[in-house]
Amino acid sequence: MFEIVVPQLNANDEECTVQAWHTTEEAAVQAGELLATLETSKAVIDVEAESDGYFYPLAKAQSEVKTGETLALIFATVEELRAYQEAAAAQAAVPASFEQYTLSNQARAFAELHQFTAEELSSLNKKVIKLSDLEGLLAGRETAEPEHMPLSKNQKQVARTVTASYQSIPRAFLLMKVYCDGALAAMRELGARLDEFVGFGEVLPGMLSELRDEFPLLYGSLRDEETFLPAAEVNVGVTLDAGTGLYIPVIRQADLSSIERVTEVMAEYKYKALRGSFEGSDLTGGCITVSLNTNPDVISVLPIILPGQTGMISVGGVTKELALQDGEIVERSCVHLGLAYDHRVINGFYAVGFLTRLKERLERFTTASPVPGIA
Amino acid sequence: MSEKERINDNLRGAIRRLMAEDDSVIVLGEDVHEPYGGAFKITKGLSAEYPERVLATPISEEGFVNMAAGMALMGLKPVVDMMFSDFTALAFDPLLNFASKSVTMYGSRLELPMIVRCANGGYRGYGATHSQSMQKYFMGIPNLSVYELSPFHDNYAVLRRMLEEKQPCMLFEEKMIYSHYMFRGGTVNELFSFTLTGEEDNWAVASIEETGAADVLILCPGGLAAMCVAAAEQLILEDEIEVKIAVPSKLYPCRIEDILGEAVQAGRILIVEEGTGGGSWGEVVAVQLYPHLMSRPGSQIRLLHSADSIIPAAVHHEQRVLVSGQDIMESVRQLMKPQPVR
Repeated sequence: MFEIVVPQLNANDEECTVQAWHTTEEAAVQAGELLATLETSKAVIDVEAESDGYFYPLAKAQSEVKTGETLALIFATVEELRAYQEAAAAQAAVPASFEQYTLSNQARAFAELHQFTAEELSSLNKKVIKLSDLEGLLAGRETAEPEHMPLSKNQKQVARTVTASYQSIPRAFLLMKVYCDGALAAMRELGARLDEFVGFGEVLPGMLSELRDEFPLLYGSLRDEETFLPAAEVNVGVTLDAGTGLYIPVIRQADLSSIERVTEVMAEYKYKALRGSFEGSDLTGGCITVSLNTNPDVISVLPIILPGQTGMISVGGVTKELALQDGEIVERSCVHLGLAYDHRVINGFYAVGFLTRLKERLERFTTASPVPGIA
Repeated sequence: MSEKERINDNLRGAIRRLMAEDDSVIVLGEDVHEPYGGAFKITKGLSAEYPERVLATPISEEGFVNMAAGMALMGLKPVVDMMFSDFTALAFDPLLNFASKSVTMYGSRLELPMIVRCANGGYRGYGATHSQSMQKYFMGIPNLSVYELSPFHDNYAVLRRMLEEKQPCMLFEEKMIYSHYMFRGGTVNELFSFTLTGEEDNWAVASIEETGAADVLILCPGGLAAMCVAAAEQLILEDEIEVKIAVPSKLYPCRIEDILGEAVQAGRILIVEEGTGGGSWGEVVAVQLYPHLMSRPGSQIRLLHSADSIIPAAVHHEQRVLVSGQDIMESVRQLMKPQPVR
């Protein structure tokens, strides 16, 4: 292969125009044959073949070429020329990236480091892209990825509450079994009579209000590290989540004296939970809370303690077990009753005492005990 | 307009068009006839078209410039080819004491439209007496206007403007750029675009983003405009320094008001000239700009000239004397260095 180079035509011109080609691609040319005329700002000059062979132009007619550039090639054989053409075609098939922008050297290095795509770079809509532009692009990329899901307003409130709880309340936890065949039967009977659902959420609030005088430290809040403030009235919160978010509505002391009234209030709260239509006053003022997680096979949950309270009761799902009764194997139902308590205020002995009394009440609960609490 | 046109072709075309439009336009100078067509081929073809109006003169600069001034007083519009601008020294007396003076020396203003075209500047290895930048010797002469060839400014408009001044005008033409292409349609290259602005579109302002803020404003006559653009291109890519370049067609008298906004915005100004320092265009412009920059902290003007030296003929020595693209970049980088607080 022989290269024909654009000659230095005069001192003033570094480029010239290919005025015309005098032969065609692949044509056989002889040494001395006129190949092209080049036009500079001052003159037109002829370019001749320096050897015999097959001709391949590298510039188009009327295009600009620079001094020293290869203008055309002459191959000794047609095969050589064909091989070159194929290689050139393969190279041309690689799509050239069309860049409407130019990167500064610093920006180019940064773009390579962070693998910016052509789309990302052209999205900047800048003719010259500087390092600072790419830093902005990178920051945007980090916040945009991965896909994000904003938390609901309610969940953000839950997040604040649980975070405050974990950060401020050193918690201990106690778990007790409650045998509850009798209570379950009584709840069903009562429910049928009231035409409402009656469960642990309806039964426990009244029982909790009864234990206030015996276990005052579970009904109130810690003002500071040295002082416990008993709650002015016993209001019991119950966790409700109808799939629309976690709420803890509060049953007022005035409503706690009758299971019927509690059932009525709870029915109303469940309705409000479904619609997310609680009023502020429904959700404030609790001094102890029941966390209901009574789905089948739930053993227990470890509840948080709401800031401003010292304990939370948890109720798991009802499970069945076998037991020996008078030498006979019998089936019985039980539920796990938990108590998370603020260890700064309450110790294990106190907690066991409390849960034991609650367990006794649940195990004794029958429709025969007309109104729990007043007895 | 979109077709590429070399500056020399544009200039030749402008003279030809003026001759076609106005019979009083004549061309004179040494070697302007066919087949030579002037030392830089600007008058090529004209004597064939207008044999009566293209006058080849002997080597007699003082004589033919005097003659041209007389022709202008008598109603002709001579376009004089000075060949090398260095030779204007020989015609200084007719330009200073006859042509420019005659405009207002005789009670009422006389019309004296004439253009003296001077191939100017170095970078060609032509040596000390054929490479000089002569503009500064013609600054500050009443009734004498000084223009410079520029790739931004269409020469027909420029020559028309000169003739309409109806007083002697010098046109300095950087030899190096004759074979360059005109910048057309607001485009300089892939990065830079330009707009013409100010009275009579005297200033071309080249920038990457017209509305963008530049770090440095370069002021330079047309001869080194392309060199400044190339430096600006390298500065944005290598140093992320944004440079705008303002190029006047008419150097004297020169209205700086037209580019004051750009100057105050950038604050840092580099004035580039191919000639030596000492009573130059750039120094005059700097003095005019300073009062406007006082209120802006950190403002600074730097001047870049060729070395205080005769211009060697050997190209590698000439390169050490004349302003280069490297010098322009270095000056801009110096401007970008934090300034001590005054």
